[in-house]
Amino acid sequence: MGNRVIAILGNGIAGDQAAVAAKRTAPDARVIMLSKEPYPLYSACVLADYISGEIPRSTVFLRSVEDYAKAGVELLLSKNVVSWSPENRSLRFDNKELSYDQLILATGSRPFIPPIPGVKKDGVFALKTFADAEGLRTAKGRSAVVVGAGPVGMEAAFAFRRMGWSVAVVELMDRVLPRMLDAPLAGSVKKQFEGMGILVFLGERVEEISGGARVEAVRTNQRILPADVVVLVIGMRPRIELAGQGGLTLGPAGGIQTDAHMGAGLPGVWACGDCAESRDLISGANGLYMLWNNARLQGHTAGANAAGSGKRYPGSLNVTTVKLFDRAVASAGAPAADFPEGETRMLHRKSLDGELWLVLKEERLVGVQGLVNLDRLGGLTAMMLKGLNIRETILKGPKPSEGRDMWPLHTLEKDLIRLLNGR
Amino acid sequence: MSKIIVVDPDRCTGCGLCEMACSVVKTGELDTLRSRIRVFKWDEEGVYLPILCRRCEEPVCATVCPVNAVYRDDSGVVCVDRDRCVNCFSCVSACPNGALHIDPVEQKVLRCDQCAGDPPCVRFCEEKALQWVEIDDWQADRRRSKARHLYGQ
Repeated sequence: MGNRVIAILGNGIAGDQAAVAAKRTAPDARVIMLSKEPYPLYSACVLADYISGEIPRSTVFLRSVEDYAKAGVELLLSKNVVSWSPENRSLRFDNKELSYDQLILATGSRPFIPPIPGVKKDGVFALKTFADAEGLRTAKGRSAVVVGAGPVGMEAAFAFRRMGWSVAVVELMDRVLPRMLDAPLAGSVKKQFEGMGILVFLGERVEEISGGARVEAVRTNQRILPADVVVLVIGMRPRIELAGQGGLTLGPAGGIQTDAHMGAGLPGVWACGDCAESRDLISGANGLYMLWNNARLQGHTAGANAAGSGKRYPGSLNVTTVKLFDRAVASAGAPAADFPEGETRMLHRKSLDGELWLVLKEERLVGVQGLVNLDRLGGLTAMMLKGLNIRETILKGPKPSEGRDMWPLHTLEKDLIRLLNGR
Repeated sequence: MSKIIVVDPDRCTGCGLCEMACSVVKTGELDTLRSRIRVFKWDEEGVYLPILCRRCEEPVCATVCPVNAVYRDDSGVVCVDRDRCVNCFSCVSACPNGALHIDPVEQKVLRCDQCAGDPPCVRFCEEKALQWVEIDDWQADRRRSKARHLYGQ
């Protein structure tokens, strides 16, 4: 009679946390972690800093193979699981069969590569894995074109500029960091970028990547940009091939549908991380919230539950910080652009130590964005999560006994009341 | 037994000595923008609120850290491993207590580490709005005052 087997697919932060939580909850269980990757856990969030040489390889890697051995987790790297049979509770890889009692899917996501001519040429990269980063770090040339102005694209552009390349960013939307920022702060970031000598082209569509075997240029609907390296960072898609084989239900955004315990719809099957859908804490909407913090908590929940605990996943939080130049820009909740026009009211505050942008809907915060000075963003996010009525909070406080929660609104009170009163 | 810095905002007069003491001890210069403790002031209302790391049970700063640089040491203090930290400031924008700041000079995260048991902010707080107390004593006090409040005494 063997011990019960908890199998984990994927060794990103979700898989890692699931393994640790499972082992902690059920020390006598066999926890087996399988990954396509040849490396143990590393942080995909800091790869751009690694490309530019800002941080060493050792900072990118968060765990060693020995760490897992010490924790009692069996780690199987470079394993491509080709099939999954939910009826037999077994996985197939390397012509071997692995039977499990509990399965945790933490298969993550892959970069979306658009169907444009030339994406297969040498010199065209995505940026998600350590292998991508190694490729970009050792790439030769002088000019880089980054397609997509999301957080990864902006960090990649910054990294190449720091290495002395000439860099252009092409974005289809009308602003940089479109899922994080509204026009005012996005405008400030773009200005900073241009000040560093990075070209930013908004509202442009890439139509072709041209050249021979190697990339030579990127053609958009407006211009031709010379390029030795092209970085395609348009977005991520969940890896759900195996989930599809097992007949798991997919959610509205195309990820694995999960319940409040990160269960994936079949008994003994759990999903977490970029491949899993979850509920947004603020909007309540189900979708893919592919962020480090969410993957970490989902992994922890899934791992503990696979080992028999009854943990609930509270929900996902959309919070992103991007460090560009010597300053950072951060956003939590949703930008006003996500709402129909007229449904939200916005407050823009510029001061010596940065900018702040608040999005309110029916007297409640739904989004906050900050540039440079980020101290109070977390406090504002907490107000957003509590669903505090901003008008009532301001009118009630600050009193020593009850008004303390309102420190994030310090010095914003009058402007906010004016805004809520309809200017 | 471990001790923590306890804040009683009702006693705070907003003098700012804690901020000054902190920056001097930690950075060698008097610059309250480099202090690890900050006092929010509503002067008209006479309300003052000193803020510093509250050593959360489940620290959000640790959850969002992309390089697992935030950890809790043996004395319960939530620390940042400077060798691992990449100064991305994710923790600063996530802290629900507003207790983390960016050092404008060194561009690093400022975080209260309780000064290894001898916090100057507490020493300089004449009003005793900041106190250095045993956790157990403090919790007993809180339970007692809650109970008193409940039974209306």
